[in-house]
Amino acid sequence: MRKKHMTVAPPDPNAAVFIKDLTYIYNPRTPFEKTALDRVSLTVERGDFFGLIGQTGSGKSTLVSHINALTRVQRKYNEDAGLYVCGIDLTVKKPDLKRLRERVGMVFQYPEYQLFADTVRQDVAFGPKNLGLGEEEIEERSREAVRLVGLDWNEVADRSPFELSGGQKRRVAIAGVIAMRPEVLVLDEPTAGLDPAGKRELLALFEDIRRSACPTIIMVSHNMDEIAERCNKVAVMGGGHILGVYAPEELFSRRELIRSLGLELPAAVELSAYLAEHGVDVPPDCLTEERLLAALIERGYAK
Amino acid sequence: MKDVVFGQLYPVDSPVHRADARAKFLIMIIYIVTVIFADSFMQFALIALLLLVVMLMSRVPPLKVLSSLKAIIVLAVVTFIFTVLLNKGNGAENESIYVVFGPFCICTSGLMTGAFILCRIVLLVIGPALVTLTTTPVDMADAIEFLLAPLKLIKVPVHAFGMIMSIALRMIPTLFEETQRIMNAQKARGACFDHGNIFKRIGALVPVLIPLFVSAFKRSADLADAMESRCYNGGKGKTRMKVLRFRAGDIIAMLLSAALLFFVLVCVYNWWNWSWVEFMRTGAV
Repeated sequence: MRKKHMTVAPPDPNAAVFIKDLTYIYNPRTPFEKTALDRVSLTVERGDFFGLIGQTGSGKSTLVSHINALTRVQRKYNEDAGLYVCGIDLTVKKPDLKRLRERVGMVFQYPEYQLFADTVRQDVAFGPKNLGLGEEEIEERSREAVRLVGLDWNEVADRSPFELSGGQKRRVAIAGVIAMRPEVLVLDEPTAGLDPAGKRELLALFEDIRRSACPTIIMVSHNMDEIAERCNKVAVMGGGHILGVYAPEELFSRRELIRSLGLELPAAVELSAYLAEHGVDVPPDCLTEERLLAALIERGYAK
Repeated sequence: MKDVVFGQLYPVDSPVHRADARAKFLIMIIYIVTVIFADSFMQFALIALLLLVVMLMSRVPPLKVLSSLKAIIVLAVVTFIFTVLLNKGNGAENESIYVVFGPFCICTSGLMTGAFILCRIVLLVIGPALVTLTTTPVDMADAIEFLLAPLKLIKVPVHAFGMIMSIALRMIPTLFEETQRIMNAQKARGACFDHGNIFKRIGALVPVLIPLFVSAFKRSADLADAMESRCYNGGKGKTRMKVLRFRAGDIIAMLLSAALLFFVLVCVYNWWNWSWVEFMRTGAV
């Protein structure tokens, strides 16, 4: 233990998540052995909208499930590693899981598959109830969460979650997470399987939630448009390593890196580069649709 | 929950893994009959030696094979103790009785019989374990379907059973993964599955079971649609993607195992009064 305290730097007090030299091995010492994380270090500050990208199997999911202690730190392989989430040390044998789960909300891929209760009211209240809150507090939080995800409480509260539309189901599931009022919200491909309009709405929703309720968001995504549009920092993962943490502008100007990872550039970047190449006077690296449009209007190409 | 392991296939490449599943299944049945007929330690030694050869050929670590004994260790020990205690001896002159208390005694023939039954149980477990360690569950289901084929004559829907078995086996890992995912999602919402008494724990599973059933029904409906849209009509004229084929090695192995059974039968009954059979009856019980 002493050795550990000497080698791990004290976590940055402002960091929401502090990870240092984290290793994780699946099925150690069997023919299925696979190193999913190889001495990964990462810091997410409070207030970040943090993107996490990388190909399937690059270790993203394993990394984010550590943040919520759904995957526990393998102490055997992590003698000098550090993992602090909201100031809670997760490398100890028995971390305070209840406090951790109160502070970290996790929205899994296709969260609508976790709905189970008879009514939306009960489903959203499941999390707050597990926190041991009083009836009134639970009701208040549920109402607020349902409002935050853009649904009408009076309309949906007493309906069965299974009779809602796909998009509404997903919103109810997200409300169930937000009702716990987490400080850090982890989103694993939150917009998978939605239509373009649904994607847009949901992302705008997360921006609202970040402003009003939950300041730090970590988003795993394969959709580069979303990443370019929303995130202020992006970590790139590959083969169990963090290949770098960039601002989106910087990341998407590194075409070689993006290509070598088998990822795509955001549509706006592709389009502005194409336009610039063909003699249209626009900056070749407009990250978002809005910026590209603004540039075009500014130069008189469009109204 | 995370200790649930289905199918214990040990995935390496070996002649035993490549052998036809039906052959392995038949050999397993012949093997079981042989072990049950064998009646002396010398015969067990022979069977164990052959089993060891197969085990080495399969390249499954011996410890892995032996760990299949964990499941029956209690059964084996209890059987041994009772066999020893309740055996009253055979009244022979060279019989020595070590301990007597009340109706129980420990004597030479009791110890011999106990050890004999112990050996039989161990051999009966290790053989089939070797088959499951080297055969994928799907191959196993195909093999069972093939071996049940004669029942078609009495209108048993063998193909349907085979299909049900294959689909169930195929879906077990999927549903297991799904369970893990839903459990994680509910844990992230503060659910706790390992606290409180049995009733509380069962209650805590409701938020997992309901989503699991919902998605299982959805999956089965999707699968039924997918099968129908490919004109699946219950097996008539259906061909196989993976055709099971007996190879020379499989046939030789089956013949060898049949020869072993015949040899053991000769040792037990000695129909032709051969003198060398006495050697194989060393340690008869």
